[in-house]
Amino acid sequence: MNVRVLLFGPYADAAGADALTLAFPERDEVTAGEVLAAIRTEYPPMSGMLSAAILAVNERRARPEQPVRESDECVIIGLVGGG
Amino acid sequence: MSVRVEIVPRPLDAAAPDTRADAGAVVQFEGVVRPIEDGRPLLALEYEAYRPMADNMLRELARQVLEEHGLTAITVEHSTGTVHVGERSFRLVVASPHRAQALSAMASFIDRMKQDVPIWKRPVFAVVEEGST
Repeated sequence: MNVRVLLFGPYADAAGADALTLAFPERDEVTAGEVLAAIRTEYPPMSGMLSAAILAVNERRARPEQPVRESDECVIIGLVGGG
Repeated sequence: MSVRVEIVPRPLDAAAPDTRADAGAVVQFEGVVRPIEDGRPLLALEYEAYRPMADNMLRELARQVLEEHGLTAITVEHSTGTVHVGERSFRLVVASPHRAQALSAMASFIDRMKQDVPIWKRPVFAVVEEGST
């Protein structure tokens, strides 16, 4: 399965893209924690800024153990700074 | 009790909405883009919001702060897009029976918004030519 993760703000700047696609071969389901871990491994420029990051899945904050499926909309939140 | 939240794709108007709502205290905060950021001259801030999650989280936070602080009304406005120096990007207006509730609600809302709500800003710095200063 592939998981697409939307990026905003400093995450998009670090990745040089507004979305990432992560491949999880031979999996039908992964966890939010696995998605963040895969980003750390595959996109080293982002690894330093992921300590405060949380994955939002379908517009809700996801706990690390929460399942993620291919059709889910994922976004990295954290390091926000409105106002 | 009144909760109003709006994200608009432009700088905020100078005139704030009327938020008296049977209150003895009305406190208003406006975030204005300052001219200097980290010692460098700034042109603007560019705001991005992940919507509708940002709208929903602002609305939920506004409801929580209204209840926790005994407010009678809370109004939140936030910009997205480019907001130039001197323009308003954020406005919070709270109304309560007494001033202490309104003042404490202000800090509580802003601290939690900056920590949790998926809104990001990027600085756009002025280009300073070498030898021009």
